[in-house]
Amino acid sequence: MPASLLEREVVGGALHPEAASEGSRRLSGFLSRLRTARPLIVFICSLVSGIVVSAVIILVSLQQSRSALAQVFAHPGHSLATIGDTLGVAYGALLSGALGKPAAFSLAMTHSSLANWAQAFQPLGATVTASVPLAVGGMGLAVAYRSGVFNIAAPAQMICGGIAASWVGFSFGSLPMPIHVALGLLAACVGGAVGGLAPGLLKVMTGANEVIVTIMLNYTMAGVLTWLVSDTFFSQLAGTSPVGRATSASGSLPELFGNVVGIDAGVVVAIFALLFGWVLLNRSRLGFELELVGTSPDAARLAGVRHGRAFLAAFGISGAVVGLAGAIPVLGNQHQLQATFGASVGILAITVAFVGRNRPVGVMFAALLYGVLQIGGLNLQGATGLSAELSTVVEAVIVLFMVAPALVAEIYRLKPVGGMRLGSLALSRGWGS
Amino acid sequence: MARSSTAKAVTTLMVVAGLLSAMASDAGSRHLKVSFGPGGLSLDPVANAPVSVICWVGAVVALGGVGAILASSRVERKGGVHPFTNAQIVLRVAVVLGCAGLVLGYLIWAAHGERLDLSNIVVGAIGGATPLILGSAAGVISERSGVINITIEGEFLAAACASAVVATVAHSAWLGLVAGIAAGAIVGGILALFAVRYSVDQIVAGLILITLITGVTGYLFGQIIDPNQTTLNSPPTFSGIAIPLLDRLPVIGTGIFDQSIIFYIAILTVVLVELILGRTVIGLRTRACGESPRAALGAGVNVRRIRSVACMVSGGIAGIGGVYFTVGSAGPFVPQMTAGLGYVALAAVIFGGWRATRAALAALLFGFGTSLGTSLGVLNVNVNPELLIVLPYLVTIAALAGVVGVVRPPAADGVPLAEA
Repeated sequence: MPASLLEREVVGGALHPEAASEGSRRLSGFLSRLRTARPLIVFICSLVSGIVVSAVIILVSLQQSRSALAQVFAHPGHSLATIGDTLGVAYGALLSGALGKPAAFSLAMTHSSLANWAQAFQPLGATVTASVPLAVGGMGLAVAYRSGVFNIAAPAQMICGGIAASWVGFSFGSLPMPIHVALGLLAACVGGAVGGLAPGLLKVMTGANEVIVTIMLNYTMAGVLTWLVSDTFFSQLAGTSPVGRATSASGSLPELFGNVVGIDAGVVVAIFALLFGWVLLNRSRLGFELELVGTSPDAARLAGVRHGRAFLAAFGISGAVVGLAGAIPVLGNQHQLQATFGASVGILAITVAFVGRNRPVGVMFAALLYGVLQIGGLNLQGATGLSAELSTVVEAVIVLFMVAPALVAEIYRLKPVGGMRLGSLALSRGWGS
Repeated sequence: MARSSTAKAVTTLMVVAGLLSAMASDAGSRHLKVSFGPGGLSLDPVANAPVSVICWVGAVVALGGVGAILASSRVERKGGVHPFTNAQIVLRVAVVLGCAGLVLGYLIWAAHGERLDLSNIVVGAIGGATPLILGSAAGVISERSGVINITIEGEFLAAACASAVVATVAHSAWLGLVAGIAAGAIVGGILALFAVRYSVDQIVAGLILITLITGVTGYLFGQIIDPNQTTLNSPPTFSGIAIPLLDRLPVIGTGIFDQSIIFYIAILTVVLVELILGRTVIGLRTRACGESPRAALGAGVNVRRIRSVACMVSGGIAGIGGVYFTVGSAGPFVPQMTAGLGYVALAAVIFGGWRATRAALAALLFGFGTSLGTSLGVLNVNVNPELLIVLPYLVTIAALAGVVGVVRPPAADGVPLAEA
């Protein structure tokens, strides 16, 4: 039953085409296309779901909004105002912590000075810096997932890359900077590739399922990192907690744009990594073979692609890129290995790859989104006192909806579209070949 | 069984074991005496009892056992169920004794000059294995119905958190247990929602669920629990139950018969799971959903409902395992306290060939691996304590690498039912 004037015109237009205007035909077509479960729409709906869940959690967690919720029927206007206030403060803190305060920007524009501009750009710089390892790691993982390889060892490979890069960073004191940095990044790729080839070789030679082996590798490398940073030549005691030795100045990633925006050359590395991933997957023969193996191992076998070789290539490349992601904080803004490095960033990179649907562009946007959530979450904690784990919950909700387009379609009444499976993620095939 | 290859394997292992025990008996100054101490059997440093004899005995039994492993694995490869001949039973017993001998030999070597209390090791192993046993039972149920349950880790965590809080608030450990089971079942239900109803890749859905639960429990901890530790996170714990006569057995007595009640629940659960899956109609239907869901569908079985129910039951059982971390042992909840043991439980399922009792034995092995790290730490072995923590994970990797090809997953495991 047509409900609105627009729908009446649209339906009427469908029944009497000559009666409907050109504009309403275009609009109805656009609207109906909007209500399908295409990837972008699913992403927006997942984002909306994440925002709704976070709103509920925020409202329930804060005292004043809890009492407002309790009185929402007794004093609707006042309660709704309080609710709106609370959410406004919370989301305002999130966004300003991630992107910057408008006041700071206007101050910098009126009283233009380096210090003011640096102040204004500081949150944005922090967000970009947080997003960079996610983008690089997500790209590496996307390569693996497109090939049907369940590489869950992102934390382990980041740690391997970080260890290698840190060693290069503090061991050589007097090389010219570009060479030193390049050596560090190269070492990280090698370290990460080792971390990727180990489970790959184990799977190819013994058939051990890579999901559990990679997860075990995460815990193993976390222990190895703690040991390295506490008890070996890597260690440098700073106060009470052990950290690794600091990267020397020539080995550190240089700051970009002077000191104003607060981002370092890691951004350049990220752009290169994303480009590399795009070229590999879309324009190279190896990428084609990898994707073939990922989509249909039988077809790949018939086409002459050796499964073991493709598997190892996927694990090795993925490990190398993820190792590179691990090097960026170590050579860049953190300047040293922390004892708990890699655990959260690695898991987040996995979700970034899922949300980005294993495509370079998607991974880039997903990484930026998750960077916003991470840095904004810290500011949210400062402004409202809510635990920063809230951003973890929101991140997980978003990716949960992203991987279940059927669920999103059901909740948001979207029409299913062909290929409602996860697109380029590995089709569900259990414990693998 | 090709005799020549078995003989070759046995001979190779003889050489290896001989080298190992030679290494162990190298430092002639290590003398040990076996004695009965307060905790049962223990080894005290005393003169005139050469170690090498013990090591040699251990090594010989070990190689016999390892050879038996190789021999018996060929039986598995043929698939199906063979009634075991006496020879095979003897071989399997030799496997257990052999591995025990090898580890004992190593412990003796590692304990040079120190007092090694074997019963403590058994207690620690069983304690570490209890959540793994429950987790492996949970994994067996869901995997046999065709759903890969990676979320055991998440169910552990959710149950640990829920049981700690509820037990504290209600001042009752039993209510905490119920809450833990409910939390695990809810997580299992969410997994069923995504994996069975919406056909999301089960490993992906499981991993994301774990991230979500880690985040939720971490948030609850930081927001509500940590500021109110006394009112929300000081649960009463289950006291140990000692079976009167059996707990005085040497070495294994205190380990097996004086444990938290959750251990006894775990044993009961494994027995029940094995019986129900293997010998009831509902068990047959569940197994059919995991092996050939199309055939089950044709026979009138509601595959989706059985898989969903299996997921929730699996979650509930994993919930019991999760309760062990808080109410079943030490008490308060700490974020991420499960430390990957859920994944180790899943590895135990694989190692045990997707059968409940064998998975439980595998869980025992992994539990021993967990406690070995602590025991070696106590012994002041010359290995860094941080590296000892990674021992259970390395044991898991080694076990997985060694057993593939010998065991076979349910045919439709992990493949969602795609209906037209």
